[in-house]
Amino acid sequence: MTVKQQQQSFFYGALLLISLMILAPNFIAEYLPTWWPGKKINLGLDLKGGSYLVLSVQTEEAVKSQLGQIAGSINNDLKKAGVVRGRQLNAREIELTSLGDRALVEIENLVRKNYPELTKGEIKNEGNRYKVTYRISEDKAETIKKDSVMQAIETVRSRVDYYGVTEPVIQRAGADRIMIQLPNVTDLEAVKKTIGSVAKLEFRLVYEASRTSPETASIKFPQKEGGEIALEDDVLMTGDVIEHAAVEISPQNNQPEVTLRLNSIGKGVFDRITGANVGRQLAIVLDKVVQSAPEIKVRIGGGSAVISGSFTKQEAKQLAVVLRSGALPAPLKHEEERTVGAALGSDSIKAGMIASIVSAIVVICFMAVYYGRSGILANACLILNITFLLASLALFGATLTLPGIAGLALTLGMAVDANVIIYERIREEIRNGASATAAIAAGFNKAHWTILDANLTTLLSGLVLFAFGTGPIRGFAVTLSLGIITTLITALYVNKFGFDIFKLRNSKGELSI
Amino acid sequence: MQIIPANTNIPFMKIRWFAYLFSILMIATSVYKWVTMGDEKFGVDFRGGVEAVVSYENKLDIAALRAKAEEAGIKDAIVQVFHGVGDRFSIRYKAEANENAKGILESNLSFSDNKARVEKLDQVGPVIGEQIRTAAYWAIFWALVGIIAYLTIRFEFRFAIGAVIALFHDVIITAGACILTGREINAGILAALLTIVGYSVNDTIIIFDRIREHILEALKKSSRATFDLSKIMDLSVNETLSRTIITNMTVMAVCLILWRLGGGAVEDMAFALFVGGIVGTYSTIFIASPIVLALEHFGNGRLSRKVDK
Repeated sequence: MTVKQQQQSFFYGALLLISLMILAPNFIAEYLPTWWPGKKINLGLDLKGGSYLVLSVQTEEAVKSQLGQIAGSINNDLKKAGVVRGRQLNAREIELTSLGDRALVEIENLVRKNYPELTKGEIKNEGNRYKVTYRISEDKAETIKKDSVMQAIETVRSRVDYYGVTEPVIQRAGADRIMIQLPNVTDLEAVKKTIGSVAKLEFRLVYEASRTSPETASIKFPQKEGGEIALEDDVLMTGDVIEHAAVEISPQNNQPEVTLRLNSIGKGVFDRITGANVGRQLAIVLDKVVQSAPEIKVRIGGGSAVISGSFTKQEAKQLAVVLRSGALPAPLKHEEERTVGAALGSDSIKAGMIASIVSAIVVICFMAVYYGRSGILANACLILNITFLLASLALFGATLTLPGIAGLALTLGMAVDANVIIYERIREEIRNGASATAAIAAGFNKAHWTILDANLTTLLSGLVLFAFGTGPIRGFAVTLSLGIITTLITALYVNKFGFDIFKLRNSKGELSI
Repeated sequence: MQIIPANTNIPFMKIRWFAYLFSILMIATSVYKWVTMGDEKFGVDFRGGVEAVVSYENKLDIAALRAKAEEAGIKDAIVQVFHGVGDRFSIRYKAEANENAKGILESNLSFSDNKARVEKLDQVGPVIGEQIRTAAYWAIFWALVGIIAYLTIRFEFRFAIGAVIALFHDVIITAGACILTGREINAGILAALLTIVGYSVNDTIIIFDRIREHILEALKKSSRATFDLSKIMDLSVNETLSRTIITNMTVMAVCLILWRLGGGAVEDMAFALFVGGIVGTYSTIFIASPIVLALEHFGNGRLSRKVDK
């Protein structure tokens, strides 16, 4: 062996050993120490089982709801000044009503100072009342939309966290979508329901004609146990002051209930509300449905409240989780869901493996028979090829999906392509009278660019597929693309090297090809 | 060992009119079926809806499942046998993405003595379905643009056009074969079509490479040589015939094995790859070069003057 050949054998040998080392954990993980530098190949959800969800954030709703909060906040500020109310007209506009000129000026000053994102619109005059329309700018609306998506992702993440799902993936997908991957979860329906629940909690007083102020309207709300109840059109407290929520069993009736602990702001607000309204019913409204409406018996300064009702333990737990993680800024719409059960997943792996192995056997037998000893060399290159390919998948943390396994098999077929191009050329050269060495050199030379051209175009397809595909298809694109690179290495360089150091002559002394 | 004799001399160029006719027939059938089928030909990936793979505890007759689906009020359900281990069926129908489709399906499709279990569920809302479809068209477009660009750089524009026409031919006929055999176009088949775009052009490149070699040889003998492009093409195809047939055979063998043994989840994709391989081989031999020849005739032999690699 020449020096160069020694170097080459060292290099290829090292590559092989490194690949085997990386792949070891996939087969003999139990025998390896923890510091072993290798990785298991990531399996896609279609092989290990799990769910893939795409939810879109209804950002228009977020803007509407944010504006509603601004209107409520203005209301509170104005009430202190003894001035009249504001109400939300639509997703972009609110209308503030004032009694008299001085009140109008106060409103305008207040808004200009505290709510710079609102721009003044038209002013209508009705007797001694002025109705001012304020508008939220599109820029601000866009910001709210963007923020709502970020916030939704964080809320979803903390909810999934509470359920203790192993290795979930939660990512932004496009301008207003969230992509969630949940490897096999035992209670998928509960998790999905929890993720999607807006969980907007509101505390409102029950409407009592004698005790509700005349300016406040009454709105009917459905009740959890059926029927309707009239509540005041005034939100006294919302769920964002909740510091902690937990499920407990009520000592009175042994039913599950959710206890809330309020943060310092909440403590103060709750103290005020309960102090001012002893004897009245305070309705706890979740996503526009009244959960319960207990009577305020005494002023509560400790900042704890209880939501009790006819909950199952499951419902109570879900409620506690969503209250702890905070409300979603907007509802989430189900756009896409794909679930594969673990049983089908493992069957798919089995089928894919069988198909790949049978393909490999067929190809190997064919090459050995058709091309003799050179065919056996080609087979060795094929085996190296697949080994390098699998090692790359493990190394890069790429995900192997079922189409990806198909991609492995396809890579086999295309690797053979490269070998055939070279070998047929060598045969032709020999037919035309060249010596074995010359024929081999010419074969590799002339085939070089052809093989590159052919594989680069397939690589192009692979990259396009990767760019435009999702999930399992991406897995296919990755396997295909990596496979082309390993094919180029093994079919051009390792193969040539093989011809250099092995004689590959048949019994007659001719090149066995 | 040699399967294809070494010095074949099949007059491929002469046969090309028969090939054109055959191809036009196949393309026409495919396009007709594509256009008349409307949205039905698309799987849930591209038109939205629900597709579930359901398995049962005990053996079940597919007709009984169909009846049960009707009874449960699932309109226009397409029920098929899902290949693989065990008794599985796939059922497709149109519906909005729903939070608890799995539970609903399992209760609706279970019999009193034979419980259903949903093993795989794909739900795609119409908005996303539309977007995936648009992305698919763009993917095919960009792949073809990339191929044209690459071939123009490596060879010359006329070659690129000839190759791409052959590719269109392959994709249309393969897609046609899929819908004619009752398959629906889903993400897997799309992936197969794109792979065929990238792979089928390989063969064409091999032959074009050989053609270029011969042209350069002829030009070397005398810089103003005129040559019979048709004869050169015939020679090139014949010379590379062995290689073309063998590699396509091996790839097709692999795809065939994948199709029959790979299980229901890759079945569609493997079928498309298999058919695409066959059509690709055919188009390489009978379509690509003749198209270049035709373009050459229309372009008044500019090829001879342009090749200078």
